[in-house]
Amino acid sequence: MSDATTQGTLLRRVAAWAWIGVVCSLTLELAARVDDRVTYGAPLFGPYNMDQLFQPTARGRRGVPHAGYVKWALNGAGFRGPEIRADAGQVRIVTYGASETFGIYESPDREFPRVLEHDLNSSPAHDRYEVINAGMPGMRVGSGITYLYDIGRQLHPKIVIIYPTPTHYVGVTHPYCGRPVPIPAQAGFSFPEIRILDKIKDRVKDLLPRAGMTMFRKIGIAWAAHNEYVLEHVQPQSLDALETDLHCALQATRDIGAVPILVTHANRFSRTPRADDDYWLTGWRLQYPELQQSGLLELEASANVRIRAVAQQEHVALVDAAAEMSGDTRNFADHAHFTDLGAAKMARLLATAVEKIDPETSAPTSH
Amino acid sequence: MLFNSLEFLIFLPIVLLVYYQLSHRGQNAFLVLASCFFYASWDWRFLFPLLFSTTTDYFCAARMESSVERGEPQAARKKYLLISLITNLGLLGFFKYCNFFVDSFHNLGVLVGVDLPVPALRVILPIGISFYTFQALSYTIDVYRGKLHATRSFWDFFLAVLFFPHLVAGPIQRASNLIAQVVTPRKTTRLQVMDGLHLIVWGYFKKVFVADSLAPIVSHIFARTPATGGEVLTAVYAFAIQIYCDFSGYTDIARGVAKLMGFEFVLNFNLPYFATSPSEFWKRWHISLSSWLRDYLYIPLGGNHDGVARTYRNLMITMTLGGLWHGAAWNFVAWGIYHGLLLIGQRLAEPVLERITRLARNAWQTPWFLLRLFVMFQLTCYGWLLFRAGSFRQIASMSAALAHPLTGLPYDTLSSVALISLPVIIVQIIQYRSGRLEFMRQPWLPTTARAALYSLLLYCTIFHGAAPQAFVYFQF
Repeated sequence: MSDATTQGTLLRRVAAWAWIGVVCSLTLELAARVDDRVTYGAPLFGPYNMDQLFQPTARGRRGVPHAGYVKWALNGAGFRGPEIRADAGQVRIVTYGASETFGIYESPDREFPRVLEHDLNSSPAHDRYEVINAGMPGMRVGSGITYLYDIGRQLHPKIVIIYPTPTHYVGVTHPYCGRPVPIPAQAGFSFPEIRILDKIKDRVKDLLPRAGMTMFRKIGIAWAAHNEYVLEHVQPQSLDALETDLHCALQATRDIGAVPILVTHANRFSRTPRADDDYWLTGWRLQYPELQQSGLLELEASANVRIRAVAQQEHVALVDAAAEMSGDTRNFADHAHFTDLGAAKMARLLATAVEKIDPETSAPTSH
Repeated sequence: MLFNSLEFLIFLPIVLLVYYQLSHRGQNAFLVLASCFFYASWDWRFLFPLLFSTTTDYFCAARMESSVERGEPQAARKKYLLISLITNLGLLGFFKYCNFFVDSFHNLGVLVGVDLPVPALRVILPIGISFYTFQALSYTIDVYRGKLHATRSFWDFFLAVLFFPHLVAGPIQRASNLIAQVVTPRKTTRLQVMDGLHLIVWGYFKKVFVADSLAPIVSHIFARTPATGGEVLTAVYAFAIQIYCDFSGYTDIARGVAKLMGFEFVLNFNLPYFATSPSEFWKRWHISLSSWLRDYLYIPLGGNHDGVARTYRNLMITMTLGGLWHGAAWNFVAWGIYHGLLLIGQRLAEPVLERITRLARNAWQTPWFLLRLFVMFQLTCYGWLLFRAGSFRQIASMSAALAHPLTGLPYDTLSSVALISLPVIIVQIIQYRSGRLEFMRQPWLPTTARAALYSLLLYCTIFHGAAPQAFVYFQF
C-alpha cells in the first residue's frame, strides 16, 4: 500500500472517530437539556443557572418574579416561598441574609424562614405571622441596604431578622452601606453553557471519596491563590467594614419602621478539631482562597464578637445561633448551610426571640 | 469491590493498562495478583478457603491424571474425586449451611417441645463460595471422567478459578472452557473490545438504571404487611425485572471485562422471559448453573433414562438442591421445589400442549405463543415471590392477596416500574425478533445512531442511576 493510501485511510479513520465524538457529545448535551426541561421545566436552549433567580437591576440584584432554578422557585414578588398575602394585619417578618437564609440543602419548605412561619403560626395566634424570605445567595449584609429599603416600602415588615455571613468580608476593607457589589460587565459574546459538564462535575463530586475531593480542592485553592498574597489572619479593616455595615442595616431596618433581630453566624466547626474538619474547611476555603483555613474560623469567631457587641450597643435583640448551634454537625449540610434539622433549630431560636417582641408596639419586650 | 463502585472503575483501567503491556505468562501472573487484590478487597481472610479448595482440587486432579497415564481403571481415581467433593462441599456446607441446619434443627426441636441449646457459630460467608466451588468441582469431575487433562501449572488452575470477572457471581465457568483460554496465549481482537464495551455499557445500564431503581420499590412493598393484591402484583413484576437486570447486568459486565482481556465467558442469560415452558426457562435463565446441575447432578442421578418416576425424582432432587444452592433459607428450597413441580407439570401436560401447538397454525400461532409466554411469565413471577419473601408467613399472606390481583393497584408505582423497565423490554423484543443478542449490531442501525444510543445509555446510567446497591446474587 502506498504512503498516500495509508495516510488517506488514517485520515478517514480519524475523521470517523471525531464524528463519533461529536455525536456522543451532542447527544449527551441534548440529553442533559431535555432532562432539565422534563425535571425542572428549564429552557431547552437558553441559559440555565442560578442567575435565573436573581438578575442585576439599577438598584442592585433582585429576585426575578416566578423564576425557578432546579429545586428553587421564587414567588411573584421575587422571594423564595409562597405568594405574599394581602395585608390583613398580619405581622410581617423579613429574614435578611445570604444563602444560609435563602436555603440551599434543605428539603422543600424546610428552609428556616418557612419553618419559622410554621412554628410561629402553630401557637394559638394562628396565621398571625407572615415570614418573607429575603435571602439572596452571595448578598453582603451591607450591600443589600437598598434592597432592605425597597422591601420596607413595599411590604412594611414589623420585624427584620438579620443573619450576616462574615466570610463575605474576606478581603473587603471598606463598608458597603448600601453600595451594591459591582457586577462584572457582560462580554458581547458569551460561550453557550455546556450543561453536561456541570452534571459530570457534580457526579464526580458525589463519587469521589473525601480524601480525593480534599486533594482536588487543595489543588484548586493553590491554583487560585498562586498569584495572591494569602492572609493568615483576617484583616481588622474587614471586621470594621462588617461592623459598620451591621450598623447601616440596623439603621435601615429602623428607618422602614421595623424591629431588627441580629443573629450570630453558626458553623459546623467546634473548638476541638474533628477528623473531617479538613474536608469541610477546604470546601469553604475554595471560595476564599486568599485567607488561610485557620483564618476563616478566626474570622467567624471575631465577627460573632462584633455582632454581639453591635446588638448590645444598638439595644437590639440578639439570637446567638453561633453559641447554640455551632459544632453540632447534624445542623449543617456543609460548612455553614443548614440541614433540615439545623433549619428547624434555627427557626426555634428565632421564634423564641420573635415571640418576645410585642408586634403591636413593634418593640422588643426584653432582650 | 462491587462492579458498580468507584473503586472498581479505578481498578479496571489500571488492570487493563498493565495487562496489555505484558507477555502471556506475565499476564497470567498479573491476573492472579489482581484477582487476589479484588477478592481480598472484601475480606483478605476469604482467600484462605479459596486457596485451600483450589490446592486440594489441583493435587486431586494431578493424581487422577497420573492414574489415567498409568492406565489404571476409573475406580482407582475415585478416592481423589471423593477427597475433592468432600473438601469443596464440606467448605460450602460449613460456611453456607452450618447455621441454617443448626437453626432448623433447633426450630424442629422447639416444634416438638424440646428446646435444645444449640451453639450459634459466627461464620462469615466467603463471597462467591457457591460459584467457585462449582467451578472447581467441574474441573476434578471432568478430569475424573477423562474428559479433561489436568493442568500442569497450579497457577493456571488457580487463575481459572480466581479470575476476578467471574469469581463472585459467575457465570460458572467450566474448567474445560476457561483453563484452555488461560494456558494458550490470548490476543484481544477489535471485535472483542467492541463487544466487551457494549456488554459493559448495557450491563451497567441494566444494573444501575433499572435494577437499582426498582430495588427500593420492591423492598418497600415487601416490607409492608398486609399489602393489597395490586401491590403484591406490582412488587412481584418489579422484582422479576429487578433480579433479571441485576444478575444479567452483572454477567454482562463480567463477560465484557473478560472480552477486553481476550477471554470468552459462556452465555448466562438468553431472554429468559421469552420462555414458553419451564424447561425452556431453565435453558435461558442462569444457563451456566442449570447446565452445571444438569451435567453434574441430574444426569449422574440417572436423568430421564430410568423411567418416569425416577425422572421426576431426579428433577425434584436437582431443582431442590438448585434452590438450596441459592441460599441457606427455606424459601429458596420452596422455590426449587416449585420449579421442580413446574418441570414435572410440563412433562405431564406435554402431550396436550404439543397437540394444541399442532392445531394452532397460521393465524392462531402467534396468539398461542403469546398465551404460553404470558402463562410462563406469571408462573415465573410467582416463583420470584417465593424467592424474595422473607418467611413462609409472608408467602402465605402475599399469595392470599394475589387472589385479588387488581385490588388496590398502586397506579403511580406501577407506572414508575413500567417506565424504568421500558428500555429493557424494548431491547428484549428487538433481540428476540432479530435473533441477535448484540442488539446494537443491527444492520439497519447506522453508526451515528449507535453512538447516540450508547451516549443515552451512559447518560441514564450516570445521572439517573439509583444509589449503588450490592448485586442480589452476591449473597449466594
